[in-house]
Amino acid sequence: MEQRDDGKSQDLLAACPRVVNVGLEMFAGNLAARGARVVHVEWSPPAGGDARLAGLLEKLRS
Amino acid sequence: MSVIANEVRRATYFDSIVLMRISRQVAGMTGVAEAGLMLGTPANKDILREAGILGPEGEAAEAGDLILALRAADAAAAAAAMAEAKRLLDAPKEQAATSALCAVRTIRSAVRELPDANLALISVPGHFAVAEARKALALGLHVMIFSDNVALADEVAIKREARARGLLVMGPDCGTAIIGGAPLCFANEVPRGDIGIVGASGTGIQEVSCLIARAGRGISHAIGTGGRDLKAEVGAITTLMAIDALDADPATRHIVLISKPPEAAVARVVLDRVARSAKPFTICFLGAAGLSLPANARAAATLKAAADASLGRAAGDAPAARVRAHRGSLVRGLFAGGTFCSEAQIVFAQAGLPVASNVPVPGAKPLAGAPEAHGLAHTMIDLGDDEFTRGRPHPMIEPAVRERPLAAALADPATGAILLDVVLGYGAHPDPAGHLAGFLGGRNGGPLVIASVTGTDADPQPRGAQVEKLLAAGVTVAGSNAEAAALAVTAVGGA
Amino acid sequence: MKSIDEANQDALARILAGDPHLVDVVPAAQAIPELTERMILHAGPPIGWERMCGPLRGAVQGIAVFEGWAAGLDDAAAKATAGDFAFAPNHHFGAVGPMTGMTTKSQPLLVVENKTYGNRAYCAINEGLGKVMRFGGNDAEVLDRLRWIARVLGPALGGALRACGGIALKPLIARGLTMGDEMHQRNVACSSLLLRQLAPALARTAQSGDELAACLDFIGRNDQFFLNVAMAMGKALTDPARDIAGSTVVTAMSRNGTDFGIRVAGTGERWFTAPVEMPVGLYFPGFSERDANPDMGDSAIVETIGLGGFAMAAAPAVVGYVGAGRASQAAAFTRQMSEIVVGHNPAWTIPAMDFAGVPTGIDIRLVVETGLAPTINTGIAHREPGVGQVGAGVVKAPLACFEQALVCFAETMDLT
Repeated sequence: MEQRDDGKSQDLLAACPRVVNVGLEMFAGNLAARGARVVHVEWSPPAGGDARLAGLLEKLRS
Repeated sequence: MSVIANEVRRATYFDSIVLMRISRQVAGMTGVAEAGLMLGTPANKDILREAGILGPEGEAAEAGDLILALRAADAAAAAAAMAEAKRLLDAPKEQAATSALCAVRTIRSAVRELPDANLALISVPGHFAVAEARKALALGLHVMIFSDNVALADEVAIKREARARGLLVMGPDCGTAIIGGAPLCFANEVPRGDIGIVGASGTGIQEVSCLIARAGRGISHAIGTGGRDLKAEVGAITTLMAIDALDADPATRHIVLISKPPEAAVARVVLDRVARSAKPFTICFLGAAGLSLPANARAAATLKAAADASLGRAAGDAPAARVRAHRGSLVRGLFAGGTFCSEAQIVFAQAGLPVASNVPVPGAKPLAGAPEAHGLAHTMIDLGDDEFTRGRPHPMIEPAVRERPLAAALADPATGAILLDVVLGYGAHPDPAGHLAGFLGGRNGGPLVIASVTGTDADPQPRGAQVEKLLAAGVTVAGSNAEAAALAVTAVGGA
Repeated sequence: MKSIDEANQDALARILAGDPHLVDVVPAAQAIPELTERMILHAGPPIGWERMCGPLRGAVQGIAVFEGWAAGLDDAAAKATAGDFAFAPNHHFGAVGPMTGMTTKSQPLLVVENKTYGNRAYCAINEGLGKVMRFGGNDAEVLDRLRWIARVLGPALGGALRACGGIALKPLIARGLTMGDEMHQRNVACSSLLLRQLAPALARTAQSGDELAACLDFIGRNDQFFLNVAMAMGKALTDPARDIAGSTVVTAMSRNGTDFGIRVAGTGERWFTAPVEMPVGLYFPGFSERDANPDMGDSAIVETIGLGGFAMAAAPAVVGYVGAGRASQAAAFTRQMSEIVVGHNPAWTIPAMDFAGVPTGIDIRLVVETGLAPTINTGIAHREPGVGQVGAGVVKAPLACFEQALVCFAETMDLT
């Protein structure tokens, strides 16, 4: 698969990142304490961990 | 006669750090041999099973369920421990710093709250990490995957998908990054500057960035690639994209690559890309020898040498000091950072000293059984390796994990010097030096203790004060892990 | 080929584009020609007599006597057991009904027309509070009231509505949201606004001063009068989205006291059912959970269009009343529902949430992914027929409905 090169990595490096934190809350806390813009996601396993339903959800993601 | 007790809570998720804290508290109760609260993923069940605390209820748990498992001396102790575990789980959440943040349930909702979000930081259990990464990529976010236990095939697939979208995947198992001045996960407070880093090792990035900071210079960005990016299957996808990004970044004037030595074909691809850059590179493939480098690249055998090279300093000077070992003649390295363990082995191997490790570099012997069985080999142990961290916190988060092997090394008459790494920064223990000093305090004699302290004065645990505490406890503090290892070499009469 | 997201945007657009007007009241037989003798429409997905809960049976017995299909309540029960009546969901005939939701040929039905698409939906007139047929009441008092509604109130309302050209409902709802209504448990503002608009037309078209007084009194005493209007409106708004290939948006949520059923745009008329859950709430003095009937009614159509439990932030008082928590937590309910929808309704906004639009267009994929089932505000009926309402609370749609729907949807898309 070829790489797209429309400067998205440049955009990432150009300024302080705006972060979506999924998982350990400590990471979001540290970023917030430094003044970074971060949203913490109260994550739980998709479909309550049901592998079959989670698999279906992935196929239906569009 | 010991009793195993298990309870399973359907479809329940808790932050793994919270679970580990509770596990430790429960494990410390009277009559409790072992305790673990973990999500029921296959990898976690392996851990609980091997710890001898997984019973039939736990076996039946599904990936999204929470397993409470423990082994106690008798039924009464087991019941009391299980009750306490549940009490701790259900206690009202502490007022965390993030309570002011708006909490949402999905990445999709998060992007709705923060429409200009551009990076997803994923630290859910590895079993679920790739699916979350895919959602983030679909929403146009770059991704940093802190999680480990992600299948190699999944890493390859997700990096290819990301590349096709022009997005970066840092990880899996990426513990450190510094992007746009923001320290991510386990990283240090370092000034902005013109040196960029692309690293397959989190602690490697930490060491080099801190050394640069302490020399008065700064970092433009440190891009983590995850530990397997330079394997043939992955083909350096993230490394190459990172080089492209730093090449195009006007703030970056020098680029440091940090990794263990890659397979030859991958090294070739990476070095070819380095050759096409107009910027100077320092290549730190730890322990690699005889690399054929392009004109704009210099090799560095250690992290300290890499930092020096990026700063334009000459490398390879002899250590400024020599020390003498006390008592025995063997060096025992006990490391929280795997890269530091490797680096120490490399320093010893280059000095011609025999060394054994649980994660041996080429030229070192594998460690099996007790250290005494290795006769005259010095030992370097990575305490962050899987065998030590099953169901237990990583030593960088919880320094107490190092205490038992440290006590054993201190007590062993064969030990002449002990090598330790102390890592500061975000995510690390609030006072690692204080903890270590407290443990070592009041010793009379015993082996020499040599430590390096990876950090800066701007870190949450200011480095200067940390060093003071160690010095006051009689620890010899070196300026870097490589220097500490070199000091240890002199301590046992090596070059 | 359209993506699922595109199909969902289409479904949401159709719901949001609706322009519902309360235009008339007509006898059911006229609105629904298929409604013949001994045909009884009920709330919820399809169900037979044997599985019906107490209040629903009580209502069936009562309506059978009302229509003259049985000599008395016991005779009605016997005939029902013998299979003399044809039961069908309101939803199958363009109608909805609260709680037991009885719809039969002689009853006057509110008519809501969606002027954007030309479709109509129907609902019986709300009987009032206390011992009523929607809670399974079936004694002489209940039936007399139904006769009065059929003979006096229905025609009077119909006449007034035709005379004034009908009442636009979208702006009325928008106003009610700013006044503390959520249109499921709290309808007092909309009921008052409606009466205010209707009164002059009622005055002009009423047959007598006594009739006018009786109608005004009946409507004016009933804080929940508007509920039935809101329900018919909900069906009129969702029906145009009922059959959109590739869409995972929910077009109906409904309960019959035994089963909870949902319908999804991409799977058309199919019901996905699971056992109803028990509401959790506060009880009137003298009653407790022991007395509660399981969840019942077509009124969840209100949540299907972003009101009710989804608009809880507009009605903080309801939160405490239904025992769902503290008033300050009302916004959290609405925010939670935002996680499982396709978008928000710019026409219906909630001041307390900085005028955010109500979350609209439940996506079954998001429900299954997050495990957040739609929150429904509901009245709680007594288990015994005829006793009436014993409390109010919050109930969740069963996750199983959405999981089944997801599997079926994936099969229709050849994606299993």
